[in-house]
Amino acid sequence: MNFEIDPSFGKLRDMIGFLGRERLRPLGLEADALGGPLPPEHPFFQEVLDMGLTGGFMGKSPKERTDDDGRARRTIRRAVVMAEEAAYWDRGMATSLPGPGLGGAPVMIMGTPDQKERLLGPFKDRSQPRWSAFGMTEPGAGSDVARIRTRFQEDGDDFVVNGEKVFISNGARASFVVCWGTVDPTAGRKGHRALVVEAGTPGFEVAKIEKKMGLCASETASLVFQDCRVPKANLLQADTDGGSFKGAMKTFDMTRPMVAAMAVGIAQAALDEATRFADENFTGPSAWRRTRVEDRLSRCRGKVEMGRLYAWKAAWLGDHKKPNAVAASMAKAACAPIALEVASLGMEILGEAGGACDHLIEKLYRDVKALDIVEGTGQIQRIVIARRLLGYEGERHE
Amino acid sequence: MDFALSQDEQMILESASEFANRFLRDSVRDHEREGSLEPGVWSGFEAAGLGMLAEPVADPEMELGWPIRCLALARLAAVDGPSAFALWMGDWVPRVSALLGGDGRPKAFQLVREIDTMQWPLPCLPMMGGESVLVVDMSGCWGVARVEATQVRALGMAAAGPARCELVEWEARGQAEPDLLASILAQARIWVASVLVGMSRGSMEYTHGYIQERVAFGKALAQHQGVAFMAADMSIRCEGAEMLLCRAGWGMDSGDDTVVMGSYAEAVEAALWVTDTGVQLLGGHGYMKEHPVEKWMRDARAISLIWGGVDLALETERFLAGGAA
Repeated sequence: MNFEIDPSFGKLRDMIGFLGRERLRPLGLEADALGGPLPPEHPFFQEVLDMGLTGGFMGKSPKERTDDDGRARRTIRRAVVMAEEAAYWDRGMATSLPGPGLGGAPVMIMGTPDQKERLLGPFKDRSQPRWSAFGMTEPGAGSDVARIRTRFQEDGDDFVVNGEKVFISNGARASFVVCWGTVDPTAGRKGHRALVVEAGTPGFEVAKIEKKMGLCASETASLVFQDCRVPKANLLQADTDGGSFKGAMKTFDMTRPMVAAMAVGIAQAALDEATRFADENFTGPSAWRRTRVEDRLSRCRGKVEMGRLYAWKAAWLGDHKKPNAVAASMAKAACAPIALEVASLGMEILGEAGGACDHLIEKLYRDVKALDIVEGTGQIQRIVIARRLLGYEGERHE
Repeated sequence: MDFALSQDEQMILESASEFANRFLRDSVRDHEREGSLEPGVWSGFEAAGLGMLAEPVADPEMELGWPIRCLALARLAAVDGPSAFALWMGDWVPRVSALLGGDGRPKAFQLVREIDTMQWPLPCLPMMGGESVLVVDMSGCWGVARVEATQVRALGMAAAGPARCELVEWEARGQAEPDLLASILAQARIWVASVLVGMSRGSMEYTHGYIQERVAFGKALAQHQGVAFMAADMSIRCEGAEMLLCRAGWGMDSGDDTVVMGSYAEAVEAALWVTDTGVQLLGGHGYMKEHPVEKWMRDARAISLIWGGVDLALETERFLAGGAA
């Protein structure tokens, strides 16, 4: 056992730390005051590319990748450490970083070499920022992805897409959206497919950008597809029945540890801020209060460290190609509530000052709630765990 | 970042499980009733080579880190916490006493605020059948007390021989160096945390098995979502507490005790919740002594109070950090 962060991650982590302190945190607060994301033209995004940084997964497919020294790859572990670092400074801004991100992951997992080259290749060009998006959720189908109604109808060499997607991160600025839909609504999961819809395709429109309680720096869009023609060449893993759905689930095994790590990053930020505030304010005559606060901060420090281990373990298993669905769900289910608890304690320590929207902890408290919802709610994580450990079969229907 | 166990480490855990299954599992209730372990258990423990895992100063040639020693104790405690604790203390306390400069007789340990103002008798302390207690206070004062021990009925930890202790006389007194004191306190806490982590896992595994068998309203309990979620939470909490225990131990390997307090507090909280949930999910059966879950619940509550519990640990931390106690 070894709980040291791989020294080879240090340089990248330092860069994210620098970017975080100088840009992510201040810009995140700016976006929060604004109530919405920075526009894609904002010079910050080009700055990020010029620094050589990118959001989400990058480089070779996790499937192909092994390190030169023959050791297990460290891709997910690296991603988890970086996700924590970026979210420490601002999770909303971290999600807005240009790069293949969430839409890139399914292309890497399910795409053909040609598709990877065509769709992910442009991201190597750093002369302009690019994003991609993952379009699963619909107004009537959230966690229950089997209820997806977006229709893919075959017509010659194309699919005709009709449907609606909601809560899509970077959906309005993405150069492509991996859109989940069905070729046969009566076939349940077996009818599901993942289709890459490129920006500018006629019939694909952005309906609105959501206003949210937190994570304002992250763009959350509603998308509408109306008789939108997409070439069949954009279908991911077309041959396998039900394969697309499994592909989506496999994506989660990689991304859930990252979301957990982001929650840990927010928790650590709240803990540091709360500790700083307590050190500055609870001295002298309020010693009793200080003692109580110290005890609770001490308890939270332990929980944050434990949260980090959940995320690391899931990442470590993934890197070693061992089943990590349970560990990923545990990480996701455990870390978000820990982060909310720490942020909430931070609010108590701020006292009445916490009620005003001018303190970082207040923003963290709003931001972090999202992490118990995105990438599968806490309830869904428990369903996944119960299925795997106890053979729980409820909520399973074709 | 690596969660893997080496082959040697896996073998140690296997022999711990093997010992627990052979010597503890079938006599859990006997040990509880008698308030002590059969002599064969003690000799079996030493014969299995497990005693050396409880050494306060590990043999450098063994190259066994704290994480694996903690996990081994947890494996024993997953079968029976009180017996595991008794066996472990039987090796650890005499050696700590000797390290401090006392004799090697005490099997019982007690942490107090201040040795000079401590209250005798001690109402309920696991004595492992011994007659002397190693007492250490927050400032590092220590003493070995010869006591008159009268076994008491106790909430839990009965196999470790909980007794009311009257002071007969102090046989040795001294002052521990700060580093040694810190190390002893960290060890005491991480051992308790290990026992709690093991008991939590024992309760979780038993409960998970039960709810997959027991049928209500036409399907196994585990197929009811309310039950399934509670069961999932049991595994989440067990996993977290166990990882944090390993993390704390890993820090101790390089002389860093900073995660131990967090691990201890987490182990207590998780064990109280998990063992209670075990009883809850078994319903009426959980409350009966036919099943072990009620015992795990009582034992978890009892051992998490030992040596002042989380409260005194926090106070000690603050005291050692130079703050007001």
